[in-house]
Amino acid sequence: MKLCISSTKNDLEASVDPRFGRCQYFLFVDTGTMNFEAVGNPAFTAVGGAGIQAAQAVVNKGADAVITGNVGPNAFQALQAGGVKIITGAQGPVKDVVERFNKGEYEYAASPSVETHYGARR
Amino acid sequence: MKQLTVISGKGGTGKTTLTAAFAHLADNPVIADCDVDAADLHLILSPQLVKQEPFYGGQLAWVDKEQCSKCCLCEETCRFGAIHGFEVDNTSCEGCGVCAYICPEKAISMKERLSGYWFISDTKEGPMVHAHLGIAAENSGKLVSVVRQQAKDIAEKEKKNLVLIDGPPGIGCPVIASIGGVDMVLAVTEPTLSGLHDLKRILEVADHFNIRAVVCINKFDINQDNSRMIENYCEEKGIELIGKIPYDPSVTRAMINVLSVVEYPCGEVTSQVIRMWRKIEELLF
Amino acid sequence: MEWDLPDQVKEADRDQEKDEATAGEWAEAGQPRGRGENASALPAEPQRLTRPASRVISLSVPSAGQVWRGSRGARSMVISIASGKGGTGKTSVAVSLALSLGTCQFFDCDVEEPNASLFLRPSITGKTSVSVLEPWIDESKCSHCGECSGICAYHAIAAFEKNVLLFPPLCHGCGGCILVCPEKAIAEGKRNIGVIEEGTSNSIAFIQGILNIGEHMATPVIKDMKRLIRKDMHVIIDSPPGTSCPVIESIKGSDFVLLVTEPTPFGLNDLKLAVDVVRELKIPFGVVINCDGIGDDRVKEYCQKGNIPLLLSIPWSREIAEAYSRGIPAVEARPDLKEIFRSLFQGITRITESKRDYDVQLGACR
Repeated sequence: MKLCISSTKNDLEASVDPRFGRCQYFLFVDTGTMNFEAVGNPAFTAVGGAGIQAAQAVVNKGADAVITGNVGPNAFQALQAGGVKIITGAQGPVKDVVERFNKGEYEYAASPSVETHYGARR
Repeated sequence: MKQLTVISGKGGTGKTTLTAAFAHLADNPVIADCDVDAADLHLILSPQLVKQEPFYGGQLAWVDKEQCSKCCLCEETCRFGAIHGFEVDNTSCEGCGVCAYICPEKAISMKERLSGYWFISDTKEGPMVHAHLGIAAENSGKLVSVVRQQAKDIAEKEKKNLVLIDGPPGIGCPVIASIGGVDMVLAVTEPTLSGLHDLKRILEVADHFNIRAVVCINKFDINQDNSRMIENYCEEKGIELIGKIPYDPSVTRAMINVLSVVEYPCGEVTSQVIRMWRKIEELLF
Repeated sequence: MEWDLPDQVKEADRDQEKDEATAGEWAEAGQPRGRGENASALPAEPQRLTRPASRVISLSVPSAGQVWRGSRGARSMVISIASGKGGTGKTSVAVSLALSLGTCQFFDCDVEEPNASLFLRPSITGKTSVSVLEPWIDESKCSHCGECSGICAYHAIAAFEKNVLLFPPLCHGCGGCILVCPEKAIAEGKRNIGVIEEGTSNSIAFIQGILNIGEHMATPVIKDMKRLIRKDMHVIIDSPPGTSCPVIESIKGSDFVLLVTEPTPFGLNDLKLAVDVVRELKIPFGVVINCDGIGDDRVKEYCQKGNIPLLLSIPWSREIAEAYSRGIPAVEARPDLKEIFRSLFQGITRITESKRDYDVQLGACR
């Protein structure tokens, strides 16, 4: 399965970035092989609509699910529309998060975790 | 590490004056001036510039006159009236790119718009991040986000325990960008006719983001009736009123002397502000 | 606190009636006369203030040669009131000016937070909604090519394999998506973003715009409001504070901009920002200092050095501040101020009507 995890740096040791729309990197990880690709978040510098732009990029990359800290309503809607499942509330190193996912410790989110513009936090 | 933003629904209520005072009273702050449209905090804190970076927000259309066939299609299609005589009016252009798309000669290109600058400086109270948004630049909150991010980075790197944010006035995107994820906001209001209304609006915004808010009334003695109304409202809503500051002309004297109101003697104003800060520290830490 | 009108102001009022050039006026403009202090901020040689001016400073502006009436024909003018900083008393000055003129159109363009109505207390007689373009996507025609999402500079459209999502608050209404769609699946729809209210307050025609909560773009509301500008009466525009897009939209096309500031370091700092904007727009402008006496003279010095007309200084008074907090305009609390504001208006008229001085202004702008 192809996971997309919002990350503060471009390797598996990095911590999950709590914001989806304005995180620094997306790590696309194959849960079977643990091969990964680090991609800079194109929405990082967006003037507006960061969540949507990020979601579009993630969908286009063919991710099956997103794991992150928080997802705002626009991004949530966009990810859902793109058929991507969403997991929020994740913390800690990305590789630990993938392990936890493989062990089935996460539940998919049914609604956005934060209000719009949360990503302005930092 | 905690973050506090000082906000108000309306400009001119005393946000910056208070933030400057808190900067002096706080132990180990990083200061962020998020009023990027009309920054004033530097006038009290006298920052020494360490680093300056350009800020690009959005795009501007540009017509290459040599390629232009003067067909006027761009002018007709532009929804913002930003093209006249085959030239782009920078104050009206919204960077949508439609003109570039339809130009049959491909004579129009979209260029990154240099919208302003952000700065990292040193002050006697601590490191300060501030910015300046240029004329007609869209005040979308993106520059505010940059300032916030830089301030937080510095706080983490230098082990500071507080990011103190001077918020922009109003309730729009820049304000939202200045309060997202902070631990507390201080809403400053005045006892004018719209004071309570403005306060309600800004408190609604804070509430929307589940951020704890405290309130203070500046120049409360100009209208004690309106002040009381504000007090009653805060009580009703269970919002803590942490200070009532009287009007005092020495506040301006302090500003002219490039000192905060806790460094320059301002009588009751000074003691109120100190009391307020103790309360904020108590609530934050 | 005295409110003497310097003799030359009274002269300016009389001259307003005549249409002739009086070349001799210019030579006298800078001389302190009578009991009042006079500082002409626009003479050939900058004048030093003889004393910190705590009273009316007004210009006697010469009209030499042709009288330039501007593009508005007869003497009606559009005057915008702006300030780099909030809380300087812009609305107070705008309202006082309008009340002193008696008959005019008043536009409250601070659509995110209109408050002039608190002071003018108009009876609202009409409301019109303001709408902006919203793309309506017909999914039955959509081939999910993603072109619309590609051109959208604001990420208001997200296109996926099976569906397309629109996020209206982000849409700037540029029409790009409509143009690029190969299937012509996007139509031009509308979305309501605010309302324009019209009314009257005595003989003042009052117009205010209110932006709906949650909407980000004030500019379309202001644009719609300004279409209601009449050419047969003076127009006062109360612009939002600051220097961003809505401010520019409000003051664009005015005959004159009045910048209101306070005599403090914050006031001076933000005044300079506002001056930059007005110079960029190439509109004649002048400064009003509100709450004079609370700070220092740096604003005055700045105006002098920059050849910027300092048209009025209003001393701070607790009486006026308290009246303001009760929703009472300054000219109602102190009716003697009406005369002062009328003189202010005459000063503005003189500046805009004199071609030579308009050029001087532009020269100072450059």
